[in-house]
Amino acid sequence: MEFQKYSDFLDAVLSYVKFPLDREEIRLELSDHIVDKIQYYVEQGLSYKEAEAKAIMDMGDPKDIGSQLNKEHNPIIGWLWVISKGLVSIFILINIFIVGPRLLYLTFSIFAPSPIKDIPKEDIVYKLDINERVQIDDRVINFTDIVYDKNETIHIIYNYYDKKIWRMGWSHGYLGTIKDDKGNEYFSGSGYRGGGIVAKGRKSIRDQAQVTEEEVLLQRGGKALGIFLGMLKV
Amino acid sequence: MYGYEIIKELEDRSDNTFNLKEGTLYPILHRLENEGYVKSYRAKGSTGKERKYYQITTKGEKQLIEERRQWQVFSTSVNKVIGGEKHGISKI
Repeated sequence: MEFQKYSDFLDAVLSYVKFPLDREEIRLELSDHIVDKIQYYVEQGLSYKEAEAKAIMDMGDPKDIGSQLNKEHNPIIGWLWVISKGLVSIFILINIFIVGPRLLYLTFSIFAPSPIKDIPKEDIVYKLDINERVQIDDRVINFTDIVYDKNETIHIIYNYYDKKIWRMGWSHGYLGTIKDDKGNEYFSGSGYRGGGIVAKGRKSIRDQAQVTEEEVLLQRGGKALGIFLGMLKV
Repeated sequence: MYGYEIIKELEDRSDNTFNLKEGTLYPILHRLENEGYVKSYRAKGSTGKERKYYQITTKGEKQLIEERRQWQVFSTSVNKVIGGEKHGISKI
C-alpha cells in the first residue's frame, strides 16, 4: 500500500488500535519518528515529497504495526485501568467528604473528656465503677459509672455507639428514651454530651427514684444493670 | 533514548545489517513497557523538541542479564553443533 502523506499512514496504523484513549499518544510517537526520518532524507538532498515517501516506506506495514500495537493496548485492560482509576478517585472523594469528617468527629468524641468530670469531686458521695454493656437493636450502650452525689442525684455515665456505622451521621449523642416491652420508661430527660460515632453522656436523676444508699451499694455485687434500671422506673 | 534514536543506534551498531522495519519497534517498546522492563516519559531533548523517551528499569536490567546468559548458552550450543569437533561438519 502506498501512502502519499504520512498522516494517512498513521490513520491506517491507528485503525487497528481498538482502545481509543491510547491512540493520540501512539500517533504522536509514530509521527515524531516519521518527521525525524523525513528531515534526515531532506538533509541527504531529497525533496520533501521523496523524503516523505521513503520515510513512510521505512516504517513498514501499517497492518503489522497496528495489530501488534493493539495487542499491547488491550481495550479490556485499558478500560479496566480507566475505570479503576475513576473508582479510586471516587473512593478518595468519599473519604475526604464523607468518612473524613466523621473520623474527625470520632477522634473528637473518643477523646472528649468523660462527663463524669462535670461533677465536682467534693459532691460525690458514691462512685460505682460498673461496666455494663447493653445492646438495643444496633445500639451498644456501655454504662461506665454511677455517681451518687450529696444532692441525692444519681448520675449515670455512659457512652454508646451505633453498630451501623453509616448511620452515625444521624446520631447526635442523645440516647433518647429506653422502654421495655411493658412500656416502662427507664431513661429519659436531658444531660448528655458528645456526638459522632461514640457518644458520651450523663443522665442525672434527682429524688424521684428514691434510691437509697443500700440500693446503690447493691450494685457492687455486680448485679445486672436491668435491676438498677428497674429501680429507676419513672 | 527515543524511538528514532534507538533505530539509528541499532543501524550503527549492526553496520546496517539490521534492516528493521522501523514502525515495528514501537509495539516492541510498548510490550517492554507493559512488562515493566522499560519506562517512558515525555521530555524535551537538546533540540527543544518534546519526545517520548524510554529508559531501562531495574527489572529490565535483570532481564537483560538473563537474556544475555540464554543467548550465550544458545550460541555456544549452535557453535558446538556446526563447528565443534564432536559433531563437526569436518567429519563427513
